[in-house]
Amino acid sequence: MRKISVIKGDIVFQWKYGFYFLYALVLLVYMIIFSFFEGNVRNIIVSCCVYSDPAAMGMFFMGALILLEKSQHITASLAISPVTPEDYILGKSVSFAIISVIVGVLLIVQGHTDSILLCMTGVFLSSVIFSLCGVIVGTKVSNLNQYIIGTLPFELIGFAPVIAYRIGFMWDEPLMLIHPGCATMQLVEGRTDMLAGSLVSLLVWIVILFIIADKCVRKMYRLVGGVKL
Amino acid sequence: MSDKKVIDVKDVFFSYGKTPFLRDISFSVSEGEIFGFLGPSGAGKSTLQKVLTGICTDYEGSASILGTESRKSGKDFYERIGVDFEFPSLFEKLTARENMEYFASLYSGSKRDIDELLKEVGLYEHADKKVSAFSKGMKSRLNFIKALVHDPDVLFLDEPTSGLDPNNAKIMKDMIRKEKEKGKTIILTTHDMHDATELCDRVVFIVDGQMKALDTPHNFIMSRGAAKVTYTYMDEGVEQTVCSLLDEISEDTTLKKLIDENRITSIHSAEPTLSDIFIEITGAHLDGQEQP
Repeated sequence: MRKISVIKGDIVFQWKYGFYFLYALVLLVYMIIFSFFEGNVRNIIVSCCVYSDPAAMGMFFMGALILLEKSQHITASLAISPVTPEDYILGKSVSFAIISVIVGVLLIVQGHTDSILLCMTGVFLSSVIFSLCGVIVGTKVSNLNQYIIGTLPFELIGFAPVIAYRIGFMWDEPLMLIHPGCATMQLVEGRTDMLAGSLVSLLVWIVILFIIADKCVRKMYRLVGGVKL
Repeated sequence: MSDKKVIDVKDVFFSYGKTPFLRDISFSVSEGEIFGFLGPSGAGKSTLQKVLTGICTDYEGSASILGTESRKSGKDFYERIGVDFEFPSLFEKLTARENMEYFASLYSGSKRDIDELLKEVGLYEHADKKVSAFSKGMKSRLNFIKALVHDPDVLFLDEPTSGLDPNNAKIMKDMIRKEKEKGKTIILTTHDMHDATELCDRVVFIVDGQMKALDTPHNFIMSRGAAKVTYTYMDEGVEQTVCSLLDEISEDTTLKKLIDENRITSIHSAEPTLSDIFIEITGAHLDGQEQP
């Protein structure tokens, strides 16, 4: 029940701070851009956009969300409540993943996928991965500039190989599935030939990043209130 | 106040780095007691509170709250404690009621009536206003009742009257007394000696991470100096000031004579305050400056 309350609280918080308005704006802009393309090129662009925005948006917005919470000392109240670091991470990741899936579906229907269910799964898992990256950086910084600099490596590693992969380099190379973005791209397009590998890759990344994010949130909880030496 | 120990701290040491920040802290607090942490900023009061609330877990010694070692604090532990931080910890874009409802939803046990709590601190009429439109005092009051919403057994209050006008400070103090009457155990962290004298059953002076003294405010005041009487009179056009101990006043022949001659221009009695005792014992002012 508490987990649901935390997720619901995060959704309300994101709504009140206009995050959903930004999602709607991004959606509108992409739809306009897609209208200029046709055929396979359009499909590739749509797939890349589904990955780069709905899926990865958690990381972009996570910094803003955590910094807002820090500025309003919300983390202090959560640290002394039954909300565990796991609940905290779950609330953020799932709330962003839900909106990501909705936006992802609205975008993918502008292009092509062999399976809408796999596409939704891919966006959901990928969104969780990026949210976890966002939590890791967000808990360590105190302003937006630091956050932007802190997430740069994640963005470079997260996006560059995926774009290269999707436009044709090593498209059928199973080893590329080690990269969570490439695994996501498989799912977004509904490809079932390397389904198990894609899912395992994403789940392993989620477990690894969750463990790191959990340590970061525990450290952030420890620093609330009082002096810092 | 019962004899049941709710908080039991033994030989606690804690450091943020290599230098010990809290040293040799030992005390216990009974059920229904208001126990004050007094000391200047940076003395270690908030850090001690963080140890007790399970935020700082890598301490040495033992800190047991409601029978749970605080380093092993879990969900059940947090169901039973409430913390009112010195700073507001509220969602600015949510209304007062939405904030209360959200924080109440994080707890699984029985909850206090939110409207009742809002009424008690005079915020019921502002319940549907966003917190961002609240004054500092309103935020402090909302922050306080947020700590009560899940009806905790132990309350940690950090400067609860800070920034409040006298009327609202009185409302807050009355509410703290009510919680005590209900049997709640309260840790009051403050550098306001008047609040401590009025509210606390016992206080501990903390300076440089160490306990300097522990007693009731009454015992501190009585043991460290008797009440004094100061009077003034005119002598050949010059005002003279005399100070006598209250319990020796019957032996003050000058005062008797001046009263008979109706020459007293002013007379006051005064007890030493907890603040005076604090400075005397610790050698530190509450703003953290050492005595010369």
